This record gives sequence, structure tokens and C-alpha cells, in this order.
Amino acid sequence: MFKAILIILITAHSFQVMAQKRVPDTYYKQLFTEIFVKRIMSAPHKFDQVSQDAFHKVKDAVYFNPRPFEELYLDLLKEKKSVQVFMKREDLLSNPKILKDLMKGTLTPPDGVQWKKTKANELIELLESDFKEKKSSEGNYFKSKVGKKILELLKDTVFIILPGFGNHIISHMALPDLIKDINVFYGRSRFRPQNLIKLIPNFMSYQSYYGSNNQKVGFDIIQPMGMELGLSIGRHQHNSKKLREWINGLPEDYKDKEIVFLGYSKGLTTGLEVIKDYEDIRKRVRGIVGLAGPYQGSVNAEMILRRLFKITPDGTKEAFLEWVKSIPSNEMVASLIFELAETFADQYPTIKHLISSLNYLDPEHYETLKAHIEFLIGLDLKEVINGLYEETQDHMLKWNLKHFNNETFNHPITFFSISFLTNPNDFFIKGPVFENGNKYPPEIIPQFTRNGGIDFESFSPDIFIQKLTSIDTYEFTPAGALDTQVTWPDSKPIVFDPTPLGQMFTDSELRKIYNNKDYESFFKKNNLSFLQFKNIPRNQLIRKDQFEKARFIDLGELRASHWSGVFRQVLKLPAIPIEWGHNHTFPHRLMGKSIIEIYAIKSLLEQKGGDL
Amino acid sequence: MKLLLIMVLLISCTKKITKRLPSSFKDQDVNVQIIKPLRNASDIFDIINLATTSVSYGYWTNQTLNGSGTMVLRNKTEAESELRQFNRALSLFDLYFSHGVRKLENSSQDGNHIFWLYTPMENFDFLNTREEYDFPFRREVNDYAQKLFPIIEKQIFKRLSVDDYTSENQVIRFKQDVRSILISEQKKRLRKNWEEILSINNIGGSPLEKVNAYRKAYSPLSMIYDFNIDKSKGSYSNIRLQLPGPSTIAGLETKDISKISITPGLDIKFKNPIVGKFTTILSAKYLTDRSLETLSRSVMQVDIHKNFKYTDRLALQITFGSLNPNLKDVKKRTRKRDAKMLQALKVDNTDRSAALVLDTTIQIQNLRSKKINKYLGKFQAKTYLHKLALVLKRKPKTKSFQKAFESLPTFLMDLDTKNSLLSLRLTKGANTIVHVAFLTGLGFYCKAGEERDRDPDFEKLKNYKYTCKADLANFKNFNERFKAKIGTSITRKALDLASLIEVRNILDNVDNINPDDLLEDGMAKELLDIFENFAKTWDELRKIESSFQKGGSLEISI
Repeated sequence: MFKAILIILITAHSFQVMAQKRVPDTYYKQLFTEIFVKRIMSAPHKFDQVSQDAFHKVKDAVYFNPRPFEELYLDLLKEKKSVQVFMKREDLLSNPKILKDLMKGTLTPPDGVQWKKTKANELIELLESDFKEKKSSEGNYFKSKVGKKILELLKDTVFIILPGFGNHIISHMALPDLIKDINVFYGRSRFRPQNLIKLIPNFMSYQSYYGSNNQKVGFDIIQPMGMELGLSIGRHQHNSKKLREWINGLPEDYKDKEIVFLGYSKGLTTGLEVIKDYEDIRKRVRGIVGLAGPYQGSVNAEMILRRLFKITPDGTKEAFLEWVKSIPSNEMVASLIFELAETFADQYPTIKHLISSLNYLDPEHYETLKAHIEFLIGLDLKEVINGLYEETQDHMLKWNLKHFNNETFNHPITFFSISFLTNPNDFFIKGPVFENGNKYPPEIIPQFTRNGGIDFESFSPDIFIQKLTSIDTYEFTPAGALDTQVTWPDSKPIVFDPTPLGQMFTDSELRKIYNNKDYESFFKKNNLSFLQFKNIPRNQLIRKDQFEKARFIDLGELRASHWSGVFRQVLKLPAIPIEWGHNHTFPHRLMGKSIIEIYAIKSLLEQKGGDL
Repeated sequence: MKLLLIMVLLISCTKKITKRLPSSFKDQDVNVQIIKPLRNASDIFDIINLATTSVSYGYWTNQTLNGSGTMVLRNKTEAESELRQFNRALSLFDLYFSHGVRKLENSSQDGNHIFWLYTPMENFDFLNTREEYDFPFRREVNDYAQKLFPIIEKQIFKRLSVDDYTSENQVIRFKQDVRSILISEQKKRLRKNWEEILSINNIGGSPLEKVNAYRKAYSPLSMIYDFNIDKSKGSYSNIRLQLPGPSTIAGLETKDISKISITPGLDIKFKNPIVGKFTTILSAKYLTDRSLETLSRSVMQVDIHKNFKYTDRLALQITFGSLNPNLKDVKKRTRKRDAKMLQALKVDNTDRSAALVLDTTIQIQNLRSKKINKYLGKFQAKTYLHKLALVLKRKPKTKSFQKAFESLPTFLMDLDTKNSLLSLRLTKGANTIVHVAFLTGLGFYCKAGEERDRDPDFEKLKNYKYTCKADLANFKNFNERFKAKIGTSITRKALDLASLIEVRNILDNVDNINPDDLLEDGMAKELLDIFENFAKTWDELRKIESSFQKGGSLEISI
């Protein structure tokens, strides 16, 4: 009798424990990458009419190791030689055996769980069927069985793509192919109609555009464009204010929807800022996905700022910031840029020569390009410098210490991260290499045509510029791990970063933070000495008990550069036919689908009784 | 922001360059580009495209690999040594280029060949009798070349006449009269350059004149590019640079041109003696005779040969020789792999006065009898390096281009003993006929008294009645007079087993755990340092010159 009671009690306790059990956050990286890999495998992928084998298709777009980021990164930092660190990174993240394991079998359920017993089962079965039928890239996604299921499951959710630094002059939407599918599904024109006014794309009003849907809106993916978030290289507070207005100005169908921000690059920090600043938005946000998002700042912004410090007589940051305060609000950025450009070119004569080769643009193109530059350098200097500063590692460190150590983010919001990592080989060799000498473009260096002109069809201005802008950034990045603009650890929330601050910041920089009254109570409350502040893993500086309701999920790494992961081509040379120019081959449509699907699966697993 | 910066740079650079006056050739040295053109002239763009992209691939990829985390605040990673970086960048360049050649082979079914020679030429009788080469887009190409390499400007383009050369399997050899003119003109220019440099040293000049003159000590005198595309018989390419012999530059670190001075030749004490099984080498000298006559014929020639059949290897040769108008472009039997090496306009590699001299002591290691070493220690020994030939092999070895691109391979060096040229001179004094007989038995050649004094090749040894010497070389066409009679003597062993194999041993060990450290002590590293310093000095002088230009002294307002 006693034995029977004991069994009942134990069984009841077990059920109770299981009911409370949640899928571990670390699981989602595996599932997200599996979905992405299987989507790549089931999509036709051709280079110059020649199919690429499935393994190389996967290898060209995916970096994966099942171990958590913290372990991988610390492992990488053990290497002493620059070349070895690069080889180690490839060995860890592009290991053929690990990638081939991802390609095999069906989607892995969480440990000890059978899909059939979860609410996600139906979606998983649809996905598996989709993979088998190899229909990953055919037709409109939202008209497929999986797409319809997604529309049904996420009918109360809207994904808002938040674009990055400099976006106000870019006329293309991020993740264009996926966006096109949803726009067409709702009867909107494929892309937001636009015309150019003074070189800035002037789009049809978003209220009219998103008000033109042919049916009641369920799940949707929408994006602010042009100047709708203000100057994209300006300050966060201006952008976040504009974003709130933008969200609140959306048509009625969108008023009560839960929001997931897809924050690409600076779009991530804009999203974080709006969550921080506005309670009405915060209450609606369920997730924010950092796509190459600088959770901890951008090393490139940091380096440019550090170069700018030298402009002041004593070359210090303080003197520079004082100087910035004194800049009249109408001061133009031109002279500063020219000074910086001269310094940069002197350091890299090769670049100077390479750039000079672009002198062969024909006069019409040259004049248009010049007009673009003249427009850009006419921007307000103070706003630009402040905007740039807010993208630095220094600013984001203070931001993280401040806002992730109070109640601001103690809301049911999931902070996702997807990092891009660039293999420099990909700038030149992106796709299969054939023994007969053929390879897939891009051409990073302008190529002569047989009539003596420049071959703009194969030339990739995107890659050319990304290479130039990151040429010395690798040197200033631990292990050289970055996507040309943002380092690997910086693209993760600080709670994942195991490196001490002393590795990145000087003693005097840290001392200034430590002695800053804004943080005094934090250091006292946690009994942290300066040496501890400098030397302990930085993720231990965050008091996770402050925001128990929030979740942090790292979805891993993808093999892409900062631009190639979300755009077909950012830079189009002026007056060059739109169909010309090299397009990035990274499968971002498939990546976009995988993000939506992983979000849907997570939601299903976390519904009451949904996981186990 | 950086994007903005680059775009601004684009405008500012292009503006500046159009304003700049020709810089380093104010005195209008005349150079000619003599070309045996491709069958279809516009095919040149395919080669230019491939070359520029390959260079960028090699340079930038190496830069990323060797610049990952090297400037971070703490726990900086270390880059490879500059020599290893050179090998890596070269390997990546070669890989990209070799792959592109496959495509060119497939698109040129009938083959295609270009031979391009850039050389000094002020013999106007020669120039005027050669046909002008007016290829399509000449102006654009010339402009482009001038912007990339400001040193080559004001060029004359001439077409190579079929009467100027012979070509067997596309291997070009100049006819003797043409060769003689070309080499004589190179000698004249080299002499003129050295006169200018020595004059600046002695009399002085403006800073700009000085830097321009000094740069000539580090700039190629002539260049050859020989590229043959032939799918059936095999494609190959040869690049040759002929440079003035190495010089000693002082004060470069100050970056102040007034404190910089150049002395012709080198006198290097190796950081660590190079101890082999039979010899110890302590130092190296280049040009013991620094007369204008010697200076104006002594050159360092760098050859890079690629046989595209062997995709994973490249031949690199550095020759210390002299310009000799009387030599002929003779056909030479070579290994099959080397059959397509450049045969035209070779330097004379038998001139000891233009070779790199390694001060050598003979000392057999681990010898039980100290008497032999004591006796050997009395020999004066000098090793002359005429040519250092290296084979660069790509590692890791891969079967396909796809795999090679994924593995980002580097070159490892292997000494090519067959193509390296060394000679050894042993000198010993003797006072008795018995001693002379003993030395003669070993292969020495002895002279006494007045006969010895009349022969400039015999160094007079004090307190000895006879001077005996043995000259040995590992190549046949070395001056027969110096050839040893007994090829298996101890002196030959000293040469073959010590000097040459020692270099090979060092290079063989490059694969071991710490290749940089091993190379650090090696002869090859010391020798390649000379070449490396040469390039660095050229670059420093270029920067100094560039700073003058930035100062506005060479700019005109429009």
C-alpha cells in the first residue's frame, strides 16, 4: 500500500516537473540551422547552368557547431597565430562531418521529446514533406502548405524589418524575395512604389501601401523605408521616436498585433531603443531578432571614431566629444570626411591606386556618382557623429550595463541573435570552382571588356566596398571573426559573451565607466571591484535576476558578409541598368523562411502544454 | 561612414592623379616596351583582368589571414614571418591565376603567346627601324599602367620583328646583334643610374633629386613577361625582373632623406653563423670591387617561372650575375619541367665579381682527429653564390581547384639543387714542392713567384712561395680554367655536401613545428632577407617620394 502511494506520488511529481519543463534555449540553434540546411538542400541551386552539389550549397551558407557560442569563442581565442586562428575557426564552424550530419535525417526534436506529442507536430510534418518534395523555393511561400500554416499560426503577429545604417538612401528592401511573396499574397505591389527626390528614395506612404491589402491581415512582414525612421545614420532616440510613430500610424488591421522585430544591423539597436523608451511598444513586442545586429556595438564605428579623436589637438576622446558639442548644428560633414579620407588613403596606397582605376567610369556615371557623394557629405555633422558614436562598442557597453541591469527588459521578450561571419575567400570565390577554369562571379576588381570599357555586369560594387571598408578591421577584431562590420561576439547579446572587458577596452576607458555616477550603485550593490569589473567574463556583469521574464536565444552563425546576408545588391552604380551587376547568392529567402518557422515552432512548443 | 569615406576618396584620388606631373623621370630616360603581341590584340584584356584579380586575391586574402586579431588590445595573434607571408600571397595569386589559365586555354583553341619586354633604350637607330606597336586601347592601357605604377611612364611601344628573334615552341631567343644592343643599353642605363647616385652621394642635390636617384638603385632596370597559352603543348609563364645589385642603405629609419645614404654592395654579418657538416659561413659580401665598371654590369635577376602543367609548384630563382653583351641566347638542355623557362637575355652567371660571396671556413663536424680540422683551417675558402633556385610547392596538396581554394594553401620552399649555382674557391699557400704535390693531388692548381703575381686571379699569400687554389662549381659552363681536376676530392665534398645540402636541409625543415625559427638561422633566410630588404627599401623610398608630392612641389594648379 505504502509502495503504491509512493509510486503515485512520484509519478504525480514527475508530471508536475515535466509540465514545468521548458525546451532549453540552447536547443533552437540546432533546429534553426537544420531547417535552413534542409531548405537549402531542397532548393535548386545553379551557377552558370551547372548545379552545385548539396554539400557545397550548404557549406557556402552555413557555419555551425552544436557547442554554445561561449565555448567556441574561448576555444578560438586560445590560438596564438593569426593564420591558425582563421583555420581553427573554419575547422570549428565549417567541419564537413558536422555539416553532413545536419543534412541527414529529419528535424531533431528536443532531448527526450517526440514531435508527435507536441503541438508543433503538424508544422514539422509539413516542413518534412516540403523538404522531401524539394519545393523550398518554388512559388509564393505564403501560398504553399507550410506558408498557409504559418499564416494561420502567427495570425496575430507582425514581423517588422528594421533596416540598418545608411538605409534611408537604399531603395531596396531587405530580404527582398520573401518580402515580395508576402506583398503579392496581400495584393500589394511587389515592392513599395518610389521615386527619387534629391537622391533619397521617396516611397509611397506606408499607410496607403499597407492599407491596400486585398484581405484582412493575418501574419505579415512589413518594413519602414526611406526617411520613415528619420536619418538612418543619426541618433537612436530620433529613430526610435519615428519608429513608434510609424507603428502607431499603421492601418487598423495592425493595431493589436504582437510584434517581432527583425533588426538587421543598426535596425537591431533601433529596435532595442524603442523597446526601452516606449512602454506601449514594449508591451506588444514578443521578440527581436538580431540579424548581424550590433548588440555590443560595431568595431568599424569604433575604429572610425578612434581615428576621429586624432583630429583634436590632444587626440583624446574627451577632447573630441567636447569638440562635437561645440559644432554648430548646421556644420557640414565635408571637410571632416576629406581629412579622414586623406589619412586613410595614405595608409593604403594600394587602395588609392585601385580607387583611381574607377576613374574610367564614363562621364555620365562619374557625374551622377559625384552628385551622390556631394549630397552625402552635406549632412549635419553633429547628427552624423552622434549617430556613429551610438553604434560604437564603447556606447553599447554603457547601454548594456545600464539597461540590462534594471527592470527595463523584464518583459516576455525573446532576444534572438543570428551572426554573420565572413570567410575572405568568399569575396573572390563564391560558388563552385570547376576544373575547366570556370567559376561563378563576383568580380571584386573591375574587369575590362574587350572594347576597353568596364564590365559592370560581373562587377560587384558591394563586395568591393565591403572589402575596402573592412581591410584593417580584421586586425582590430579578436580572432578576425567578423562580418566586415560587426564582430562575432558583438552580434550576440552581452549575456553570451564570456570575454572580459579588459580584452577590448583600455584601463582608462573602463576606469571612467567604473567611476561614473550612473553606474555607482550597480558596482556597490554587486560589490564589484575595478579589477573584477575589468577581468571577469562580461556576461557576469549582467544581473539576470533583473529580467527573468526575458529570454535570450542564440540561433547561431551563417556564412555571409554584412550585406550579402540580407540584400541582393546594396550598391548599384548610378545610371547602370538595374539588371546589371552581380547579385549576392546567399539564400536569404530561405533564411527568412527559417526564421519565421523557428519562431512559429518555438511559439507552439511554449504554448500551454505545447512542449511536453 | 566608411563607405562614405571611400566614395569621397574616389573623387579626391581621381582629381589628384590627373593633376600630378610625371615624377621620377624628369630627366626623360627613354624606355621601350617591345612586344610580340597576342594573335588578337584585345585578348590582352582577358590577361589583364586575370592578373589584377589574381594579385588582389593573393594580397587581400593573405592580409586577412595574417591580420586576424594582430592589433587587438590584448592577446594579439602573431602574423607569419614576412617571408612566409610572401609565400602565402604568392601561392594564392598563383592558384587564382592558374585556375584562370584553364579558362583561357579552353577559349584559345589555337593557343596564344605574348612576349613583353620593358627595357632602357636610347639607341634611336634601333628604335627607328622597329615598327610602332599601336594596339587597341593603347592610351587607356597606358594611362591605367601609369596610375598603378607611376614609375613606368612615357613609354615607347614597338613591335618585335620576326628578324629579331628565333622561336622554337614559343621559347624566344634573341638574335645576337639584337641581344647585344639590348644588353649594351641596359649597361649604359645602369652606369648612368649609378653615376647619378654616386654623384648625389658626393656632391649632393635637392631632397627630391636625391630620393629620385636613390630609388633607381631599387627599381627594375628591365622586365620581361612571357606568357604562352597552349592547351595541347602546355601553358607557361615567365616573369623576370632585372634589378641593380643590392646596396647598403643607411638612415632609412629616420625617413629623413637628408640622413639617408646608399653604398653600393653589401657586407652582411649573419646573426648566427650557418654551421654545416663541413663548413661554417659567417658573413656575406656583395661587390668587393665597387668600381663604376663593376657596378654598371652587376645585376640581381629575379625569375618566376610557372609551368601550368604542374599546378601546385612555381620556380623562383635569384641570380647574381653581370650584363654581358657578348653572351648568346643559347639553347640549353633542361629538365622537362624547366623546358619552358626563359632563355632570352640571361645574365652572365659565371662572373665571380658579380656573385654573392659567402666567407667560409672549412670545419668538419664530429671529426675524431683534430689534426685534419687544424690543417683544413689553414685553407682560405670562399663560396660564390651565383644563383639561388627554389621550387615553391603548394601545401596542403589538393587534388582539385575547389579543394585548393577552400584550404587557402601556402608555398613551402624547396631548394632546387640542379638549378642553383655555387662555386667554391679554396686557396692554400705552400713552401715546398712536396706540399705543392700533395695539394695538386687533391685537385689544386699552384703557381709560384712572378707567374703568380702576373695572374689577377691568384691572390698573393704572404710568406708562401706558392699559392695553390682549387675552383669548383656545380655547373658545367663555369669558366673551365677554374674547374678542379679531381672531382671527388674533399673540396668537392665541401662544396656539395656542405654548402648546397646545408641549404636544402634548412629548407626541408620548414615543415617542422616552428618553421620560422628554423628559417631564422638558415642561409636561405639570410639570402632571401637581402631580397626582402630590397623590396622594403623600394617601398620606403616610394613613400618618401610620395610625401614630397603631397607637399605640393610636384603639383600644378589647373
